[in-house]
Amino acid sequence: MILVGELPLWIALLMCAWSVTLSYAGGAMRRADLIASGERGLYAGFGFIVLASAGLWTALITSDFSLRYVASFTSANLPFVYRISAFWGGQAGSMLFWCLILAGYSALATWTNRRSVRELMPWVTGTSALVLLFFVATTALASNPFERLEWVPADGRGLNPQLQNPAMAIHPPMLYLGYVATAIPFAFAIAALVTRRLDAEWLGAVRRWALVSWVFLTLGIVLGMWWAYVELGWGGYWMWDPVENASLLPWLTGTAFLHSIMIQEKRGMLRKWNVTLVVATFMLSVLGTFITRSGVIQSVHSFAQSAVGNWFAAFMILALAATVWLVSVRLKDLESQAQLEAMISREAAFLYNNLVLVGIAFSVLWGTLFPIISEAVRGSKITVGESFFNSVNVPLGLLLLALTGIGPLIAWRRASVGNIQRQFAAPAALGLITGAALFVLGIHKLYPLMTWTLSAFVTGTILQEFHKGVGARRKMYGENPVVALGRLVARNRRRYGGYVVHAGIVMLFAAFAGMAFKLEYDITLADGESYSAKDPYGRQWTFTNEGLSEFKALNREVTAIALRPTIDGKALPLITSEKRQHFDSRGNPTFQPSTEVGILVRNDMDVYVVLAGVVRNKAEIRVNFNPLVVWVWHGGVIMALGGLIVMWPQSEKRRKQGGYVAALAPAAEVATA
Amino acid sequence: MLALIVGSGLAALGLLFVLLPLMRGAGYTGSAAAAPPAEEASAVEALREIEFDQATGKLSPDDYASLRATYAPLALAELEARDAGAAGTEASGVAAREIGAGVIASGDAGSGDASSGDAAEQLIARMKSRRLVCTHCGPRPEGDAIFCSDCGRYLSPACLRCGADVEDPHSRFCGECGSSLAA
Amino acid sequence: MSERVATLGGPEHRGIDRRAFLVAIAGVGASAAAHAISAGTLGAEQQQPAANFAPMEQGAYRPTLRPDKPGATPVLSVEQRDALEHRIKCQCGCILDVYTCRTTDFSCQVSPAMHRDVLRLVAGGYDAQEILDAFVQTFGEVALTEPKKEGFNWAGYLAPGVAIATGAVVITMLLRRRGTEARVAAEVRAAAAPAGGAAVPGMSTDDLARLDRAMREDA
Repeated sequence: MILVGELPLWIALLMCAWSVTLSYAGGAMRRADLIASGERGLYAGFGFIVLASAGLWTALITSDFSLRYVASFTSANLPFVYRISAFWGGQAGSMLFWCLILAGYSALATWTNRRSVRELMPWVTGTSALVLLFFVATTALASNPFERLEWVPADGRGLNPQLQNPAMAIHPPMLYLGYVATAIPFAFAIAALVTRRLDAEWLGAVRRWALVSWVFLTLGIVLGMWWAYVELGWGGYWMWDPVENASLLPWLTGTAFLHSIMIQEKRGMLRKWNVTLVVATFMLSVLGTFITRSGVIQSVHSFAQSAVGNWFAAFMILALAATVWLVSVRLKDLESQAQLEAMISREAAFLYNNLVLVGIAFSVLWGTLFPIISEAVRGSKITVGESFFNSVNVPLGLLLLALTGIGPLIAWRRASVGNIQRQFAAPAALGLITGAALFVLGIHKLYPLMTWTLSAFVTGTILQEFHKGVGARRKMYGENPVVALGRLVARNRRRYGGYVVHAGIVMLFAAFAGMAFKLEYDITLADGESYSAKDPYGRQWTFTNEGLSEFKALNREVTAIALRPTIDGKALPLITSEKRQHFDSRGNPTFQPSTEVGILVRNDMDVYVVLAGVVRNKAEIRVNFNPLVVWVWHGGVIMALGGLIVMWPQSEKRRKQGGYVAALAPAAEVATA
Repeated sequence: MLALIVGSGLAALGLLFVLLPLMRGAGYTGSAAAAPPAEEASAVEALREIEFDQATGKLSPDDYASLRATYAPLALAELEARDAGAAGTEASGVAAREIGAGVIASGDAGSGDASSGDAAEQLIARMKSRRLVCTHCGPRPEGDAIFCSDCGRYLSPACLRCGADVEDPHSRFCGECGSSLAA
Repeated sequence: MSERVATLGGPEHRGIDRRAFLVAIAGVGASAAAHAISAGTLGAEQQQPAANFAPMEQGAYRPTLRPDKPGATPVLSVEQRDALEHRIKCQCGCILDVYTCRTTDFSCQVSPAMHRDVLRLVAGGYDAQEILDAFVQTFGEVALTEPKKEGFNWAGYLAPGVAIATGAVVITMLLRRRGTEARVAAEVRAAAAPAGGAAVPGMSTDDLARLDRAMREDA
């Protein structure tokens, strides 16, 4: 086991150190042999990390309880799938998992770009190997999954029942894939700063990796929401928990970057800002891991206790210092040569979009850290809960939604009045009509009304964009509408894939607004008793307790309640909610009891039933009516699909998108004519 | 014991793999040897996109006209080069690179990254490096001005007769057509 | 901390509980959870502390009692009481409010106890603000789900707005300065703009037609 397992981890550590040294030296001395050796060090490091990971997986699958990690997170009766996912079920394993992904990404980035941006590559290889070196060192020295126990226990503790959920098997890998991918753009940014090649060349590679990161983060976040919703039982999918916030932060800055990068491509502006965003996104990813790992947020006093936390803090400080220094000595190279010209232009709209996205990121970070700041300043503990985040971020979110509709309609450089009238008429009309209709139908809450009005407006924008695009193609190439639509998307994947993402965002926002109308009922029911309640749409529901049951399943004892719902007198399928007590292979109970939420999914709302417990044969249950929740998941899927369209590799022959450069002399270029 | 042997073997293999380029010496070029030339952006493609953006309302009419004026000659040159056959492959590259050519020639704004292939920056740099010409006072030193700081007339960034760029601030006649630059 | 020194699978083993778990949930779910779990791992030699979550402290409850007001009648309806409980944070170490915690997790003893105190205070004729104040007196400001809008807490509420406003001002100023230059140029440009949109100066109609054909070959 040491052979495939711990030993490779240590060899990988040496390989990374080698790769860092040789790549940087090769870059500085321009020696191809050193550079090549550095590259190979990275590939070899990847190979050995794969071996190490294979070792851990083998131990997990074969239940080698002599390893502390295996004994801590699996048990002999754990289903096979969860043995695989136990790899990232604990801290030490997830550190190794992080290394595995980072090594894979770095090797891939080095391999795919080794010919295209040669001048940058030694620095890219060296920087990604440096980041990898940090993670491997932390894993090997502070959080080693191959640590042995002094005795071999008969059985392991088992995996936390809340992690025994299919979403949990894929949600953490998705998030990790997203988090870790931010390291590659960071490496490119450092390389570009070092070599002073801050032009469009590095943008191509950076953009691809930023997209990879964005798509995985999106999937990871939405899956996390889904898991929290179906597994934790408190009734919602997002509560601004520090750990949730940590995953949102790099997503926000990454999204900002994917927008502002377009201005640099078209107009050569915003270089400093783009470098800043790339670095910030990576730092926030590391911060996210740090927050999760160190416990700095929940309890200030545990700060110094976690060894891993210290490693992360040191790494972040060093990386930040190095980047700030690099940027400051390269400020002159980052000067852009073009200028913004008008308050109402595509470029300005992108700037506003960036401002709002970064503003949201700041407010989330601020709210997450404020308890610590407050305790440091005033010495008194406070809680910054959901309502704080909502009061700040809901208006900002609405602004962002509005910009999602406005930005795509505005012309580059300078929008004329005529342009604005032509472009905005239809979408604005759609939004206003929808808003008025909803108001008449009795929706008078401000935020939901605004959200749905804006959602309709943005939907109008997206439809109009597709319509105009198809129209332009039909005119230019004489294609029939279906062909035109297909080619429109295929030829302009970035733009129209982006609109698909926008459509997903609209769906998400519209669904979020639905939660403003949620209702919850706290009910106690004996066998056969009924309870009736009104849902947000004003319909009458009854819930009848059809009986409690107790039974044993694979690794748990289950208490279940069956509820018969009726809506306006019509019977619907049973909803069952469970309380589970897990036990190990010797029949000893493990963990606290957990809840299995019963959810009746409908297009208009979810009926969400939690069995809180049973007292004297009476079931204590909570019933939530959660409007529009299913659209959150649909929206997430659409966003990821849009991301895939944008990311889908195009054959080499296809055009470089963003073909022309909208560069115009500051004065009157036209007048040459 | 076996584990130790196999382990050392593995480590040795890894070491060999990593050290190989060094053993071949400084002349080793490795995988980075053959870098294919970066693909040139096509001016015809650019024109297509300009046309498309105009049709979908992303460009104002005057921006459209001036962008077309910039790219149409390049695209035409590209087409001619393509027609010229096999030899044309290189020429099309030349045509597309022409966007940046002015920068390198004029040198004024040719900072370190002028040759970098960043089309946006190059075009902008070229625009800036041109001399503005006052119809009354001739070429002007002020790069960003809109009006002549001596007489207040509107400044053109090119010869008013033939449209050729004026790069030397002291020239009194156009280098292309010979017409007088100052009244 | 003693509950972390639990023996493997022992009956008194506390391990991770729902509460601790909720602290660690969601966004990075597994990793956080994992960490929480690692805190509860076997063996006394496990030195890694449970940094990311506070273990459920069933002893965290402290009574919040006040004598009934004379001739007390409840001033809060059931709905108002539930709404009030959404504004009081459960003290068991979770991140939920009293209402959500007591209706989600039956093994928590803190939130039901706090709920009983709320019931007694409501019956004693206290209004929402008085009840909140009473809980703050018992537990400190952590009893509220959001900080009071006073003193230093304003920094918490205002900083994001101030930051965004500053950003907006900077962008506006940037655009203004450039804008004035550009406006003049635009007027000139408009005056000098070529007449036909598609025409390009210096190119023959043949050339234009040829370009046009090339552009339409995008199949």
